[in-house]
Amino acid sequence: MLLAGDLVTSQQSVPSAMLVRQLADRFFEEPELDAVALLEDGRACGLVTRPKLLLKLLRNFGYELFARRPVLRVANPEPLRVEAAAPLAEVMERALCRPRAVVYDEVLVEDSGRFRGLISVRDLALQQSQALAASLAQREVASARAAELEREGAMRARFLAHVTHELRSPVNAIIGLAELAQRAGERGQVEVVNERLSLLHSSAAGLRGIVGNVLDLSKMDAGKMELVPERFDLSKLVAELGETARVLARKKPVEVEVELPPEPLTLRSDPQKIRQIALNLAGNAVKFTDRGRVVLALARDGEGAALRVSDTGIGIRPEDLERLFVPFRQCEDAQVRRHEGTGLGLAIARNMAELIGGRLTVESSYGRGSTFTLTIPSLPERST
Amino acid sequence: MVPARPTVLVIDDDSTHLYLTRSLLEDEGYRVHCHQGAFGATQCLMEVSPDLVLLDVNMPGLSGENLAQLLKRAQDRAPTRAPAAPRRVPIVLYSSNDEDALRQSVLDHGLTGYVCKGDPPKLRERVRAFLGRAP
Repeated sequence: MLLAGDLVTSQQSVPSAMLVRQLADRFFEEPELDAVALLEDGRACGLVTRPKLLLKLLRNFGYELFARRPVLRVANPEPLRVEAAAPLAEVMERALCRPRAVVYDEVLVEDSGRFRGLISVRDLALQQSQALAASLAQREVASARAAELEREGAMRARFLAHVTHELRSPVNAIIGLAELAQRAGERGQVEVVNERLSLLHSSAAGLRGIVGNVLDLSKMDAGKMELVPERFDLSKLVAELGETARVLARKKPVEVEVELPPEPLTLRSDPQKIRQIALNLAGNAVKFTDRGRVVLALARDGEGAALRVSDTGIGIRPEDLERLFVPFRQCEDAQVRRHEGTGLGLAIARNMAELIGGRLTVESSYGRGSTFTLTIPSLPERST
Repeated sequence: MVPARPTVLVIDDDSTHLYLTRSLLEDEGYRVHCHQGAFGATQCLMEVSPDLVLLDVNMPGLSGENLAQLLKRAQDRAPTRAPAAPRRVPIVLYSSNDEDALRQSVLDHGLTGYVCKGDPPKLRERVRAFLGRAP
């Protein structure tokens, strides 16, 4: 906040005993001089402004009447005085509340009675408009920040609503299935009991998966997920992954192919994290491909490696590519989900890719298939 | 004349929930028709001509509330094949969502009511109440 003391623009003063003639000479000699304070022992006892003085002297016989008098005779003995610690707004208000005759006069600034200087009302107005502009800009920034916070809050709320729904849904299924199994048991229908128990089992397994995902995500969010680097054979890991993908795809006309470099590709990284990322990519590839191929291709990439997972599936619309890695991307419109699944897998995969120092990128052609590429750098020894 | 057993149309994208709801209601003696997913549900409604619709809210592609609007409109547009005036089938939201959110949706979209998933006795009680008669 600006204070009167900071706004002082001139410290022009003359002793109160000075003669009007001498002061008039100064005004003529110094065209930029607008006003002077009259001082007596360091205290201001009046104010003379250029227009007032000249007006007095230019009247008929004015010069003759006043020239040899002390300046106190032509001064305003009660100019507006403000304390140096007064805020700009207060000074402005008091300055503009004065009678019309003196409304444009300079304002005296004092520090416990001692003269500090003069403020011109024109400068005050300028300063105030600048301060206003600054505060407007500040307010704009603040309101933009508030809007952003609100958006973040809304996103969090939506996220929470989705997590809650994703957790509740299988829990509800489990409760219902348990009751149904019990009923069938009471009737002695062993086969029905088994059917219901196996559904119950898969609901519970699904729930475990979701809980694991949510935990992973919150761990990463809090920066609590840790790397466990070790030297290992990435080719072997990818080959195993291919087997898993084949199992996942066994009910579809989808071929799973694994392309490996000629010699084993060993590097230092976190195999668990890589397995989790790659499994998610391979699982998605199988899930969204009804027929054709899913290819897992591993290649050396400088010191590290690059794993490409491509499919001939439904592909991804260009407008959805950006949202792909956002948790619950399908919740952009909270009511409508585009696809099955919780929408957490890729968010986790990308976070984990960054954690191992790599990158996860996607290219897709809608209706033709997608390719996800994970780069895996080899971590330096003893870097945890 | 003994009235036919009431038919309940269950629309849900999750096959486990469909199985569950079907089993619960069939045990009660209702005739149950299941439709998986939102797409084709209006067609199914016209074909099945149920006495009550149980509608999931979170489905891929189309929300339960939006689907409910489509279902209502489809009934209004349908040619009155039956001599009786076209009737509107009660549409009940059946979801794992928050109870407050469900209540709000019911009010916002002019639906018959809601039942929260995961409470079989409540489901039985509400379905009976919405139909206005026992199976």
